[in-house]
Amino acid sequence: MRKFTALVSALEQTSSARQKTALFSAYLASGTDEADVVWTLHLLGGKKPEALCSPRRLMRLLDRCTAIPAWLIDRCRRETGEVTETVSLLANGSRTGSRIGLYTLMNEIETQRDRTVESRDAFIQSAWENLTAAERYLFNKIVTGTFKSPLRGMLLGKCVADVFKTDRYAVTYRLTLNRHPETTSLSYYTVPPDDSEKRLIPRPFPPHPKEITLKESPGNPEDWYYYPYYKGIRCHIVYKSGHVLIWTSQGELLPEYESLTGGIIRYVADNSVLDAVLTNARTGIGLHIHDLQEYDGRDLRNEPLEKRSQLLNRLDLTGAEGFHIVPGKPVGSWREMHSLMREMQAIGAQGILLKQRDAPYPSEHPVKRWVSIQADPHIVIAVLLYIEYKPENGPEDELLCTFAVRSGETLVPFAKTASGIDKRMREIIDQFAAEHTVERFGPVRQVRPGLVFEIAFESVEPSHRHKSGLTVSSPRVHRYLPGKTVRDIDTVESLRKLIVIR
Amino acid sequence: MSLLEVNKYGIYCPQGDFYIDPWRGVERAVITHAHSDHARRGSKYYLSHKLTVPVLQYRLGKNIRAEGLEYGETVHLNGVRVSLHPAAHIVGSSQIRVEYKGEVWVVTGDYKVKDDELAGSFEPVRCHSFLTESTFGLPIYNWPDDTGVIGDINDWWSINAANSIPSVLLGYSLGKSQRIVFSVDHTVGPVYVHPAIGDINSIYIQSGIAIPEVRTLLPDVPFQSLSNALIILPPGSKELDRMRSEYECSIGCASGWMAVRRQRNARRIDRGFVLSDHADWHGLLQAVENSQAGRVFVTHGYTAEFSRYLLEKGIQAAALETLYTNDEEEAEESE
Repeated sequence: MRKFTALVSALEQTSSARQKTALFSAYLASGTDEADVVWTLHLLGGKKPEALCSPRRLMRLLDRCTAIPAWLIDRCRRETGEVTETVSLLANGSRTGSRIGLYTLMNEIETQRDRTVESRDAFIQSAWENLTAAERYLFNKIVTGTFKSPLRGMLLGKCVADVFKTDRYAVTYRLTLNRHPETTSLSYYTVPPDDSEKRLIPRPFPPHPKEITLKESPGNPEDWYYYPYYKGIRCHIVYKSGHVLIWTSQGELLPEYESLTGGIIRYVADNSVLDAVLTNARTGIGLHIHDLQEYDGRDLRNEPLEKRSQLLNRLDLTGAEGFHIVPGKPVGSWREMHSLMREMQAIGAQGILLKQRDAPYPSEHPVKRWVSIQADPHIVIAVLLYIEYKPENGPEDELLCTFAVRSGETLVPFAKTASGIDKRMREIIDQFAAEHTVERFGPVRQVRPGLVFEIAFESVEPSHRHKSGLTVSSPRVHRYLPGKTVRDIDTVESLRKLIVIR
Repeated sequence: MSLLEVNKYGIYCPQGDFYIDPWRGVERAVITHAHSDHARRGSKYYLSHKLTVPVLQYRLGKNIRAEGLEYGETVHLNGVRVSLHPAAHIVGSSQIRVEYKGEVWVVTGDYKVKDDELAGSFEPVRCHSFLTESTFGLPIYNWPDDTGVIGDINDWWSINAANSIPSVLLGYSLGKSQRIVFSVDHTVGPVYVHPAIGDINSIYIQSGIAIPEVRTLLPDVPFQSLSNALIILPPGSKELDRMRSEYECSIGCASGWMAVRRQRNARRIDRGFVLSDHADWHGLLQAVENSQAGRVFVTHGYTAEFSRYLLEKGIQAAALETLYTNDEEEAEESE
């Protein structure tokens, strides 16, 4: 448990892929017991053992074994902001850490699952006594079923593959399977893939296409096809020998929805690999298929796009819910790109994707024969309503601002963001807040609605969770409008008009 | 009249006509330690431990009039007996013992009760009234074993060094940085410190304290030479912004605040180490108990919570409003 805790708590704290890789390699090289490593891979791979008890139950157990008064426990919970962490920090335990391995501890947890509540309580309390605060925290996350892996998917697969010199996609694939660690050896993850596996493991994803502007023309228009450019999760749909796996570019498998995989099996030939973008719209999950890598057992990656496109256009997925074929269309002239962009935005795409007619499926770095043109963001005029200094979980110098638009005579907040605020805007906001704070709610201040800004964002979706009845994607402050007042701001109605109906 | 009271200049002894860690310039100031929220400019005479004097001169100006005392040495100020006793917060940090007509008060300043090879051991001093800090006065703050934490720092540095990632460790320039320089394993790679830390190191070395020699991080140090280095910087320094924006480095922070996830996540760092120069919850309780004081005044930190807890345990305690911060970092940034 000591090594597992050192690894997981270090992984949790950094967001750098390079540092995560370094930490994980050092862990594997440190001579940890193999059975412990298998459990570590199982838990990091995202498998959650069933919960033994709830966080609230942990709180009651703590109450039983501590002399700290209830008001002080409550004060500590406000300090940490989390029940599990509070319990972990307040329970008495060891300062030096436990000798018990992850494997042994996980087996004990598994055994307790069939025991009575009293037995589980006693087990949890005695485990606390042998663990340090950091170990207790992870133990508590595991027994409450709330453990979250700080290293998942492709990055985890790559880390393991690097150390054992094997195929990272095979490792990633195996990590997604539901194998019980008790019956799995480390070599299961690290042996090279066999032929049947090779067919299921994902292909490398090409890098994102180069971004150009509407003013640039990438050569002769006849050489290009255009597609709507969806910003979403890029996926490869691998359909081999009757199995359908949908891999994301992060190396995760999409959960198997019967409706999704069923549609593929019915309408697509076996032994095919399709390129798609996953978007999550109001109407549900949508997979927009825009390329073919393999079809009916034939590798098409070296074929020109024209050929791949013909095959793709012939597919009929009208009966497969959630799947949309995105056909490539020839570009007439670069001049029509402006009106095309408006069409793309109307169907909910974030721009135009251009691919060269005779280009093979991209394997080069960087991708040159696919380019993208991003749509200009939507812009509304809004007033600053709330600010929050040093927001929780954000960097210490961040200023989180909430902006509002009008609905009749009332102000409706619609976007909260810290991005786009430059040094000058920050000074203006700081000074304004110092003079015009109306009320404070904990760390949040409400300011007099007097500062007006342009707010940029990509799209608008309806939402029941927000007061405004809508949510905007990646909002950022675009410009400060010094002469404007709250009378000049836009309305909720004008925002609602931007909602895309797919 | 009380032996000590708080007025707008600081903690005042009317009988002896002196202040302890005043927050404005006064005639005579007795200083617990040289952190900027405790040792401020503008007083006419300063009295502190002899190892604190050179740091006071460095921070407040060569021309200040400062007198140094040994631990346990007594001076009389208008008939009030004043002596200094180890507080183990940083080198030379002192609790101030004040006695008049048999009545004894102790002002702790900042302290920790764990032994520290550099800062020494906290000396419990019996008194009638005890003024204690409460920076970490909540029971969630319980320090792990220091040797283990230093081991964690060495491991983190070694892994980074093996992958050519420079290790940047944040710690206050006075106290924490010297403790890190003193404790880490110098065989892992070169150690660089911010010039402000280097200055304090030199002062310590001149005073005969065994701080290992390290390199100073000057603007002309090439980045290649930092790939296996440990670079110690104060939290608010400009060099940190430069490292962050120009190179991939791993940023660690050594502070008691790192015990709580929310505090770690609120900073842009890759790793927190729970290494504190303050007493943790149990340390505070132990110090209060060992003082055998009948009255406890709780200053900077979780004053309301800690004094309420003591009251419920039957100890006469009250929160005392002072201008000390519970974070040297804030004070350093405002300099």
